[in-house]
Parts: sequence; C-alpha cells; structure tokens
Amino acid sequence: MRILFIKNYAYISIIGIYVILILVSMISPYTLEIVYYTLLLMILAQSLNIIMGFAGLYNFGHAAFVGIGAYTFAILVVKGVDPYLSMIIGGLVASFTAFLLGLVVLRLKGPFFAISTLGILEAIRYFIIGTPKITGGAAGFTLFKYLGTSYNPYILVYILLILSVVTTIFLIILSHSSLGYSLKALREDHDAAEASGVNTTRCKIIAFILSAFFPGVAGGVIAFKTFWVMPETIFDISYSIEAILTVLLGGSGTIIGPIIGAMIYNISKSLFMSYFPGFQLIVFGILTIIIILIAPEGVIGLLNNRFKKVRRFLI
Amino acid sequence: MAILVVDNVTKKFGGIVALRNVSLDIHDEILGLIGPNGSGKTTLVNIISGAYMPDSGKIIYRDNDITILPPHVRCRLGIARTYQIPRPFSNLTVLENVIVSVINGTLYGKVSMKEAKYVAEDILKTVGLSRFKEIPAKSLNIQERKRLELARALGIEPKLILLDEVLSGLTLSEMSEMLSIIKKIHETKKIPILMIEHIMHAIMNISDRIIVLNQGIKIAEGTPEEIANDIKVIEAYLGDRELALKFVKK
Amino acid sequence: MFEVFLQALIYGITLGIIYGIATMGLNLVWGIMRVVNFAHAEFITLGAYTAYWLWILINFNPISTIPVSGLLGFIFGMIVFYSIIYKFFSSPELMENATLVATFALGIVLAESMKVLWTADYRGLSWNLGVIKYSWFIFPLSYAYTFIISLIIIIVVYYIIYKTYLGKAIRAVIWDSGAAAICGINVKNTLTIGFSLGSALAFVGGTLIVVYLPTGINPYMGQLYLLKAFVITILGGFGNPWGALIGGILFGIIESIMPLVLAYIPGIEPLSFTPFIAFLILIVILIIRPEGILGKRR
Repeated sequence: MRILFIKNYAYISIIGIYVILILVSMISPYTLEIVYYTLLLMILAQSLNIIMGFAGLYNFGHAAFVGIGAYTFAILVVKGVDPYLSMIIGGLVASFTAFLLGLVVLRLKGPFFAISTLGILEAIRYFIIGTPKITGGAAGFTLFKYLGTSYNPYILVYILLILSVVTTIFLIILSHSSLGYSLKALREDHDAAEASGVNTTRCKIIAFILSAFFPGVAGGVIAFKTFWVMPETIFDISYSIEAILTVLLGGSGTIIGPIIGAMIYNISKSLFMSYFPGFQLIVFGILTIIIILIAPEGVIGLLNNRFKKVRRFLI
Repeated sequence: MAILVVDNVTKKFGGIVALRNVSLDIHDEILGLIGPNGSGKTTLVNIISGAYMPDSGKIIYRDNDITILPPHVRCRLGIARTYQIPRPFSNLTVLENVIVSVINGTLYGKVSMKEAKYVAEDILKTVGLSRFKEIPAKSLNIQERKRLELARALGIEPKLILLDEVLSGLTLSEMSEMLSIIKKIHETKKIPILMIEHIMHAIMNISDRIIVLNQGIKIAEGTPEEIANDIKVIEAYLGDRELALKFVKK
Repeated sequence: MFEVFLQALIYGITLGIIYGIATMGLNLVWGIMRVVNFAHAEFITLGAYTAYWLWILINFNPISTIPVSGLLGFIFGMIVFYSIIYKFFSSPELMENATLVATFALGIVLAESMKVLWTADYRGLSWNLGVIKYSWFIFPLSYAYTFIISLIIIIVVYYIIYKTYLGKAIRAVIWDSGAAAICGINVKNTLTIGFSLGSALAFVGGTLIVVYLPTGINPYMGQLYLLKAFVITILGGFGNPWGALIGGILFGIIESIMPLVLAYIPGIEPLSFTPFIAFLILIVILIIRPEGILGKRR
C-alpha cells in the first residue's frame, strides 16, 4: 500500500474540497441546491473519467446509465422495494447493461464508438417513448404515492456526497491498480498495449461496466428528488455533454480534475444562468474548443505545467 | 529444442505477397534476420507476435500451435517484441511504461504492484534508464526510446525476444552500448533473440546464425561466414563479398 | 393494403435520397481526412434554417434556395476548416480525438446559438403545390420536384467526383494521402475543398429535408440526424460517398415502411419505435460485419 501515499498533499486538497462543499451546503436551501448539482456533476464526470480519461474512449451516451438507474429505481420503488436498495440495484442494472452493450460497441474505434454510444442513448429513450404500456411512455410515471412522506432534501445531498467520496476512493485505487495501468497503456497506444500483454477488449469492457455503476445510482437519486421519471428529462443528453465538458475542463485522466472541473463548471453555470440565460452552453462549447487547441490537459494540466509548487496538491 | 518454429507461412496483403512459404526455427541463440527493404522481415515479426494472422502455415512455440492466439496471450506466454519506430506510452512515465509490461507479461496475476515496481526498476538499471524513471516517455530522445522499447520487452520476463531494427537511428557509440546490453541479456538470462537489422557489422558480429529474406522468400540460412559467402545473398543484398567477410566475427 | 406499402416505399425512396445527400458530406469528409464531423448534423440544421428564412423573408421556395444553401455551406465549411480542424494537422493521434471533441463542441455551440438567435420553437414551411393523384397513389408535387432536383444534384456530384481533376484528387487522397502528395496533388487544398464540399452537401440536404418537414425545424433536429447519418453510413460502408446514397435510400425505405409494420404490433408506438429499430439494425450489422475497425488483418 505504500505506493498509495506518494503525494500526501493531494489528499488534503480533495478532503478540503469536500469539507468546503459540506459547509456551503449548510448555508441556505439555495446553496444546498447548488451543492446538489455540483456533486451530481462530479459523480457523472468522475465515472465518465474511467472510460474517457483512463481508457481514452469518449462516451456520449453516459446519460443512458443515469436513465437506466432512474427507471430501475422507479420500477422497483413502485413495487415496494426500499428506495435506497433500489438505488444500488439501479447502479447494478446500469453496469449490466454496460456489459451487454460494451461487447458490441467497444470494438469500434474512437469516433465510431462515440457515435454508437450516442445511438444507445437515443435508442433507449425512443424505446421507452415507444412502449407506453410497459414503461409509461413519454409521460413517464410518478412516485409520489410511494415516496411522498420521506422527503428530506439534506438526505439526498448526503447520499450524493457519500457516492462522490466512494467514487473518488475508487478512482484512486483504480489508478494505482494493474487495471488502471493497463487502461492508461491502451489509451496511449492500443497495439503496443496488446503487444505488452494487455487484454484490451477485457480491460475496456471492465472499464465500461465500472463507469456505469455510479451514474446508475445517481439516476436513482435524481428520480427520488424529482418524484418522476420520464424519458425526455432523464435520458437527457445534457448529462453526457456536461460530464464530458467537465472532464475536459478539469483534466482528463486525473483524479482531482473532474472534481475541480465540476466545481468550476457549476459555479460558472449558476452565474451565467442569472445574468446571461441561454448562453452557458455556447460559452462552454467555445471554451472547450479553446481548451482542446491550447490546453488539452485541462485546468489541472495547466496548473501542473506552470506552477510547480501546486503540483504537490494535485493527483 | 527449438523454442519457435515458423512452419511454411504465407502472408498476402491484397495483391502483394509479403511472405511466401517461409519456414525457420529459433533455438537457444541470437538469430539475425536480414534482407533488403520490403523483404518481409517486419511482417514476419508481426506474425510471430500475433499482430497479423498468416494466410497459411503455422507458428509453433514451445511445441504448442499458437497460430490463432491473440497478441496479448502470446505476450503472456513469453514472446516479447520491440517496434522499429518506438511506440512508447507517451504520457506515462518511463517506469510506468515498464510496469505495464511487468504486470501483463509472463508474471500476469502473479505479481503485486509493489513487486512490479521493483522489477521494473531493476530492468531500467539493466538498460541504463534509471535516471529517467519519473520522466514522461514522450520526453525521451531516440536512443532512450529504443532502450525503453527493450526495457518494455524485458518487462514481460520473456522467453523469446523479437527485436525490430533496434539499432536504427543510433550513433556508433550508442549502437555498441545497445549491442553489449543485448549480448549481456542473452548470456545472463539465456533468452533466444530474433534480431532484424540492417547494420551489417553489428548483425554479423552478434548473431550465431543468420536468415536472409528477399521479397518474401527465405533465400539463405547459416552462420555469418556462410551467409557472407553465399552468392545469392551477395547478389540480393550485400554487394561486396570481401567486405562482408571482413565483418564476420571480428 | 399493397398500395399503402407501395406508397410508403416510394416516399421512402425519395426521402432516402435526401438523407443520402445529407450524409454524403459526412462520408466524404471521413474518407479524405479520417475525421468524423460531429457538427455535421448542425450543418444540416443550418441548411434547413436557410430554407426557412429565405422562404419567410424573400419567398424563395426550397428548390430556389439550394444554390444559396450550397454556397453558404461551402463558405461555412471553409471557415470551420481553417479555424479549427486545420490546427490539428500536425499530429495524427491528436487529430482523431481532438477533432472529435472540437467538432462536438462546435455542434453544441451552433445548436445553442441557433436557439438563442431563433428560439427553440418548432418552425416550418408548407410548400403546398398540390398533389399528383393516380387512383390510390397520392404524391405531393413538392416531393416530386425535390426528387428531381435531388437526382440532378447527384449527377452533379458524380460529375465532380469522377470527371474533374478535383474529383480525381479527392479520390486519390481517400485512397492514400501520402501517395497523392507525391503525385503532386496539393493535399491541403484538396482537403479544404473536400471538407467544404461535404459541408455544402449537408446544407443542401438540410434545405431539401425541409420539404418533408412541414413543422419540424428546430435547433436540435440535428441530434437525431447524426444518429441516422451513422446508421446510413454503416449501411453503405465508410468512406464511400455512393455508399451513403444507397444507405440513405435503404434507410428512407425502412423509415417509411417500419411504422406500417409496427402498427400491427399492439402496445407499441410506431413512430417513436422506428429509431429504436434503426439502432437495433445498427447493432446487428455491427455484430455481423464490424465496419469501422481499422485492420487487425486477421
């Protein structure tokens, strides 16, 4: 385990961020909402980082895992299953779906993989819209009857907090594990990784499965918060887009990158929404293009390269 | 006795026949593979390592038919290869590059991350890259990259090493350093090596036997002296018989 | 019964040709540059809006708009190419991933800009010229004109690609850009024009699609077309512009006939289920014949 504690200061940064989030959440209901969305984005970005940052595959359909988790949660809750258990099962179902789909689409190269993940998202959404008798169709279904009494806004935020911490710890362990190294190798050079003994297909599938669990659970949380699942809102491509932008902004492949990225993104988004509504995605889109051109390694990359002192605080 | 047998392999790319009925075996030796450009040398290495499948013929490794096995499985069985143009994992450090091989080679599943790190550090010492341990691989120059290729090959604790023009791009002194590293590896670890090379004096000097390919066909096989004296080889490749003989086992 | 299917078939073919035209650009760009333009769908949307605004402002019908769209698309493509894509030429690995993200981000910027400029309201234009009636067969005249124009466009593109120097250059670059360069072909210019041509085709495709979409123009219509374009490309084969055409026609047919078939299955909403079926077909094809995998020569 000695290898884990090389950069002690990095852990201080991460713990510090979480502490800030907890403190901020207690100021007012408004800040609680902000922390909620920040943590949600953090979880999505961190989990996306597994397949995108570590394995180098851009998953535009990441939102699908959220939706699958949400619908699984909803269906189970309607049948009387404990909500918290349903959330976890939602995550597992999302992972299983990732496994099945991964077998097919992970063979594809970069851009084609990306488009096919988009296809997965749209396909599932249309499947639900197109089968109203089975899944509730476009109108979705509500959960008031089953969850109505137990609503406490703080609980959901703390669930997300725990989920985010778990995700972070998971990522730290992954990055030091043999799977983590193999994934990074296959991201750098697929064929050379194969020649070094990496079973690229197996690694990619495992990464995909792992990346699906956390958004799946988060989907259940979202469903709990809104008391409603419907295809338009829950299979919303914005989840994918914002997660991708966050990972790029913060620094793909790093652990603290998505965390910082989520905070920057969400805070700026809130500011934008107050002053220039409707412009935030445009600005972020342009920002992304600039990042790709100038700083492909995101904020973390910039800090790493320019400020040596800060390096100790990053991981 | 033979660790690897290439049995009557043919490989075509569209209309081009890269290899035609090529057979060879590798024993406990340094086997040189030479031939004019385009003769199929790298294709042969790709077929042995699993990157390509032959259209016909078999590859037999330690008495097992591995013809249809994928590259990563062959790697775990002990076949290591280097690339003519080095392909390091650019954004990983030099040490991490080697660790990837260590955990995925013959030691797959048998070594912890901590142990792998020590093994990797040892290997870096052998090839002389220790001081670059924490440097991202993309910062290395060509000589250092070639050594990293070799280090990654050693990382899998191989039983057979395939070197593809590992000396190209190096200065004379860098070359002799590399050659002594290779010789030491062969002698201390007793690993058979198949070496593709164009640098005549090097390959004639280091090889126990040499195989010559020309346009996908094996045209000669023998000791360096025999090769240097072989008319077919001289015609196809060496040009000057006297000069060739001079380089043999000086 | 049979007539209904036949009608759907004909609708499908005419719509499919337009899909093909819209997708040809994507295919072409991929063929010459190995770049997937994720903003291609937004280019199509822009073409659709061009048709809409010219209709509203100066009463141009979609057919007349085509030259304008084409030109606009060409110029727009050139701007995009020089400002973004050209920057990645220095390094090939960067090309693949970076262009993916950059064009994706561009797509978002374009879609959101359209939303800000023109609101997310669904718009449409009804180009009603009456219908051709032949016993059971009803065919809007506007569709007929569009069909004819589509054929003309295809012939023009065919001419460009097979009979001009530019076309030869493009085909050479598709085959092997290094060899093309050695033969004296200015690869950079070829790529620029190729990309701009692809962009122009997207705009034209968008303009034509408007005829079939009396109410459906909105900033986000691109998303669905991206998926359709992908399916079409898989159906027809990558890097092959004619493949896009054939794929487009096939897709158009499937899209027209599928709701009729699905109507017989209870509990399923036929119109919404079709994209799902399209994706299923995609998956099946990918399993049987995985296009898009760069040769592990096995």
